[in-house]
Amino acid sequence: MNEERMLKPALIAGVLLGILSSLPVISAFNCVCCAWVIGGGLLAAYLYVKDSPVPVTLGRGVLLGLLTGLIGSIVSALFLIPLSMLTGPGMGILEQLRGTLNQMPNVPPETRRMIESLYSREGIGTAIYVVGFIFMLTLNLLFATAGSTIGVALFEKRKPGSPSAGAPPYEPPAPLPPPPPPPVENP
Amino acid sequence: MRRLIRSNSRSPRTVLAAAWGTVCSLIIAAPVLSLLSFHAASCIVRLAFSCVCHQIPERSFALMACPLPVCHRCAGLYLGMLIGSLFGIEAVHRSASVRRACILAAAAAILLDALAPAVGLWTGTAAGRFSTGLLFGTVTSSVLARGLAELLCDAPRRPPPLQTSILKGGLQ
Repeated sequence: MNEERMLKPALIAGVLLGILSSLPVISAFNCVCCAWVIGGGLLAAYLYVKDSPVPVTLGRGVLLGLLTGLIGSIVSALFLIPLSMLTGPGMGILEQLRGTLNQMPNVPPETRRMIESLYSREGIGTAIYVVGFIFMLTLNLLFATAGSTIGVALFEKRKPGSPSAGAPPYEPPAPLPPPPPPPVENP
Repeated sequence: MRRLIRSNSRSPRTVLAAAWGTVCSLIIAAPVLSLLSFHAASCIVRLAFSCVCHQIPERSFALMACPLPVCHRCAGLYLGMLIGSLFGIEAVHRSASVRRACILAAAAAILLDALAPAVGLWTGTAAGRFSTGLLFGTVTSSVLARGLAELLCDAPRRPPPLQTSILKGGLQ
């Protein structure tokens, strides 16, 4: 029952997470401690806690985060395909690679040329895309789960044993009338 | 219940520690590979982390003059995640309100340290960035480990499918 309720918040948060993490400028916000991913997990937890008639446990938060991270990674990967087609296959990666190489000290010029030619090869874009997806999936799962779990800890204020919100309040049964006195037998 | 979670919390903590340990080893591997002249491998690791960190060399720790692929704050965050999953701080889980207060305090510290220099209130330091990341990572990982333990504790308590179908059949 609760797993079915989990899908809607995970979908909403996952799709948002995926889109925001793949848009060119906006995705830079992920550089602040994976903010979009943790934010996605928090949003999923908020939506789930709000709609759940029973108190949500941290364990449910973990499951919700895993689902959100998985959906977010798939959406992000699907968004990156048309974006990479627009910029040209591997073009963004080559630019990034040059920036990365500039950060690394003591790289001999011939090694630099060798790495750049390696990354310019046909099909390397696909390989980088697949490796990048696996890495992104791992980090998204970890951080979305972290976000969702802390979200449940923050937003769930009901106690685990408290009555559910949708159900009518418990009313004790009316006291039964006292049993009739036993018939007195005349000797 | 609390005892059950405590006794079962070691295996999820191990899983989490393995995951965060792998991430931390990759962070250390990038400069080590570069120093050992495996520049292409080091470049792949740096590229992978570039989607989750700005990687500004002036804002990153360096190993033998070779910068790590993540900044001070991220380094603290990942190390905190590893520490939290290795040691699982029980004091955080004293009660739900204590846990909430710990998360809010850690989040407030990291947000304040990130936003205040942007506003111009003060110039952040490497130690401040690292320590706030470490605090947030430790608290978050501790809550995550508890959640994973609760999830594993919940699983055996679900009714087996056979029993459910008999019950459903009986009701129909």
